[in-house]
Amino acid sequence: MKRMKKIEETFFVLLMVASFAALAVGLFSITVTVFMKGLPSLSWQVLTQTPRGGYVMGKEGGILNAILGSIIIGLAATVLSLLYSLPIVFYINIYRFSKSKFSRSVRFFLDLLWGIPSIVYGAFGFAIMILFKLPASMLAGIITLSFLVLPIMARTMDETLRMIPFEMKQAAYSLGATRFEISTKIILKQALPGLLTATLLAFGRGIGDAASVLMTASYTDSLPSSPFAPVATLPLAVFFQLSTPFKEIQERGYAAAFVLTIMMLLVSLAARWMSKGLSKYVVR
Amino acid sequence: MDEGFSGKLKKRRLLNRGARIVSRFMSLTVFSVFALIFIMLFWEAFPLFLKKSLSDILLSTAWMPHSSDYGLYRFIIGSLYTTALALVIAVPLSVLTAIFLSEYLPRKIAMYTKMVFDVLSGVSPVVYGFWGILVIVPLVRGHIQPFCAKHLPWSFFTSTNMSGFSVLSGSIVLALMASPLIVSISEEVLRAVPFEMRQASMALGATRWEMIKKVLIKKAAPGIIAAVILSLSRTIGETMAVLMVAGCHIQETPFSIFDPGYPLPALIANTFGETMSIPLYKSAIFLAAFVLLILTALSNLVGWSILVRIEEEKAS
Amino acid sequence: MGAKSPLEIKNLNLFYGKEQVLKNINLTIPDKGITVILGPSGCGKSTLLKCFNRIIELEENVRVEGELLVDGEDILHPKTDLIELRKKMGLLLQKPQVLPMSIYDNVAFGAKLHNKMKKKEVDKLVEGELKKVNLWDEVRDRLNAPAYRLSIGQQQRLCLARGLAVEPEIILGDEPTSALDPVSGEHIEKQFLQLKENYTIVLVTHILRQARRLADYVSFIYLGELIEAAPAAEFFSNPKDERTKKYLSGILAG
Repeated sequence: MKRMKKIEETFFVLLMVASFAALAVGLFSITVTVFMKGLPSLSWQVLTQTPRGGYVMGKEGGILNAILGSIIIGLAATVLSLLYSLPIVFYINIYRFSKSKFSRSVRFFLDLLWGIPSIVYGAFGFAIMILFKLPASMLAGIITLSFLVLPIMARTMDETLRMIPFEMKQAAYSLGATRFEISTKIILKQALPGLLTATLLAFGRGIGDAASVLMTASYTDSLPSSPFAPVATLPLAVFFQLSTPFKEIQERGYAAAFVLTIMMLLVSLAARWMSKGLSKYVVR
Repeated sequence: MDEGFSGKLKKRRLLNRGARIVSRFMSLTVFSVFALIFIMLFWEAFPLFLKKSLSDILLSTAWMPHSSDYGLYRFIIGSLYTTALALVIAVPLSVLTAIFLSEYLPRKIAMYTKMVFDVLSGVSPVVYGFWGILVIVPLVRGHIQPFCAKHLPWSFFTSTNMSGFSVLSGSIVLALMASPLIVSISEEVLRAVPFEMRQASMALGATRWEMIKKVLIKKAAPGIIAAVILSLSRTIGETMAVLMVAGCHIQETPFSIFDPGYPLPALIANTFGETMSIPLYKSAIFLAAFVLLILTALSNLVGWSILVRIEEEKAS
Repeated sequence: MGAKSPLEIKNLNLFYGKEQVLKNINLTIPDKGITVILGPSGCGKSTLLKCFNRIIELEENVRVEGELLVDGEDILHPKTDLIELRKKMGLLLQKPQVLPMSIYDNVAFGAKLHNKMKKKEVDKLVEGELKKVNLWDEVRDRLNAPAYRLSIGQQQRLCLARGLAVEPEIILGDEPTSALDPVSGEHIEKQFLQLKENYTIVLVTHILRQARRLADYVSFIYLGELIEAAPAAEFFSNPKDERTKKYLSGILAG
C-alpha cells in the first residue's frame, strides 16, 4: 500500500517537473528566438532610418518611425493616465475610507475596466472617431491607450496606498495636517516606490499593445510628425512586416520585435530596481 | 506668528477643498466609462439588429458582406475553441507548476523563479505571435500534424489545412500567454493555506503528495478556479497573437485542431478597415466587439467575485 | 486647582458600531502637570485619549456622543476647526511612528505646515526641539539621515520633538514607553517630568508603577467607565471604590 503511494507521488512529481520544464522551455524559447532572429537583423541603418524604397513598406531603411512612435504614444498615454490616476486613488484612500462603499465601488469599476480587452478599447476609440468623423491620428491612439492603461495603473497604485500603515496617518493628522497635505507631503513619499513601479509597468503594457492603436492611430512609414496624423508603433511594425513575403522586410520585423522586447524588459527591470533606489526615506 | 498662521490656514483649507472637489469628480467619472463603452458599441451594432434577430446573428454561419448577410457563429466558435483548447493545455501545466513551486521548491528559489517568469512573460503579445509564426507553426506543420496523420487518423486530428496556421497553433501560443497568470495566482493561493493544516495531515501519516491531493488542493480550489476564469477572460480578448498564427480564414467552422480558426478579436482587427463602404458590415464588426465586451466582463466578474469572497473568508 | 481646566469631558459615550466602548465619562483634566489615565488593557483608555484630538474619527464605524471642552469650547461640534485643535495637542503613540523623511524634516514638518518660516528659523527650531528631548547631541551630524534608521527609543524622542515643535498646549501620550527598552523608557519619562511645568500632559498607561512614578493626578478607567479620579497621593493611599482597591492590589487584571 505504501509502495503504491510512493509510486503515485513520484509519478506526479515527475509530471510537475515536466510541466515546469515545459513552461520554462516555452518562455526561454521566446526569448531565444527574439535574440537569435533579431540580433542579426539589427544595424545602425535599421535603428535610425524609416522604411523607404519602392513598395509600400520599402525594402530599405529601418524602423525608426515605429521606435519613435511607440515611445511618444507610450509616454504620452502614461502621463495622461498618471495625471488621472493619482487624484482618484488619493480620493478613495485618503479623502474617503478605503473600505467605504464609494471606494469599493470605484475599485470594482476599475477592476471591470481592467478586464476589457484592448481590441474592445480600440473598437470604442474607433466608434468615437466615426461619430465625430475624425481621421486616424496619434492623438486618437494616445487617448485610447490611456483608457486601456488607466485601470491598470490606478488599481496598482491603489494597492500600494492601502499598504501604508494606519499609524502613520494618525501621526500626521495629529500634527494638524489637511488631507491634501498628508497626501502630498507624506503618503506620496512613503508610497513613491510603489507608485513608480505602477507607472513603469503601465508604460510597459502600453508600448506592447497593438490592438488599441491599430484602429485609432493606424500606421505610417514616416516619422511621427503631427498629433493629427497616423503614427507607426513597434508592435504593428512587427505585425505588418512579418506579413509581407519579402525577406528584407521580414528581417526588419525581427529587428522590431527585438527592439520592442528589449524596451519592455528594460522597463520591467527598471520598475524593480528604481523603486529600491527611491526608498531612502521610506519607513519599513 | 499668529497672523501668518491664520492667513496660511485659509490658503491651506482652500487648497484642500479644491483638491477634494476635483478628485471627487474624477473618481465619479470612473463609473461612467464602462457605460460609455457599452453604449457606443451597442449604438454602432444596433442597425444589424433591425435586419436580423439576435439568435440569427449569433448562430448563422453566413458571412457575405455583399448581400449584407452576417452571422458570427464561425467566429464565436473560433474564439471558444481556441480559448478552450488553450486552457486545456495551460491549466494542468500551470497548476502542477504552481504546486511544484510552492510545495517542493525552497522559498527563495521559488521567488526568483516567479520573478523570472513574470519578467519573461511580460513581453508584448505581438512577440508571442512572432514566436508562434517562427517556432510553433512549423512545429505543427512539420511534426505534429504528420504525426497525428500517421498515428491518430481521426477526423478530430486531420484537416485539409496543411499550413500549420491552425487552432492548435493559436491555442499553444495562448496557453503560454495564459500560464504565468494562473501560476502566479495559484501559487499565492497555495502558499496562503496555513502551515498548521499541512502539519496536521502529515502528522497523521500522510505523504506529502497525499496531503497536497487531499487537503491543499481542496483548500486552494476556489482561488485556482478564479485564476482560470480570469485567465479565460484575458485569453478570449487576445488579438494579435492569434491573428498571426491561427490562420484567420472564414472558409469553414473549425472542427479539427488543425483547421484554421478565426476568433472574434482577429475578425475585428482584420476587417475594420474594409467595413466603411459596405452597409451593415460595420455593425457586424461592432457587434463582435460588443459580444467580446459582454463575454469578458462577465467572466471577469465571476473570477473577481470568487477572489473577493476568498479574501473576505481570510479576513474573518 | 485654581487655573481653568484645559480639557473637560462631559457625558461622553462612544460606540464602535453597536458596541459601547466608553460609558458616560465625566472628567476634568487639570491645567499643567501629568494626569495619568490608568486601567487594565483594552478598557477604552486609548480610545478616550484619541477623542481629545479627534483622531478616533479616522477609524470606521465610530460614534461619539457628549461634550468635550477644550479651553471651554466643545470640540465635538461639527464646526470645530480640526487643524487648530490638533495643533493644540501633541500625540505620542505607543509605537513610534516617524514620517518618511529625514530627521530634520520630521521635526520641522508640523511647524512648517502651520507657519511660514525662513530656513534659519527652521534650523533654530529643529535644534531647539531636539535639545529639549536630549536628542541633539546624538543626531546633530546626521540630520539628513532617514528617520527610521534611529533606534526605537530615539524615534520616540524624535516624535516627541516633532510634536513639541508645533507648540501645543496639551501633550497626549498613549502608552508611550511600552514599546521601548527600559533605558529609553526612562528617558521619555524624565522628559515628561521636565515638560509638566509648562504643559498639560495626559498619559495613558496600564503599568501601575509608571503611574506611581509620573502622576500628579490619576483617573481610573475600567470597562469603559470612569471609576475614580483624584490627585495622585490621595488616589494611591486612599482609594475609595472597591474596584480601584482591587486593581491597586493587583487582583484585577493589570
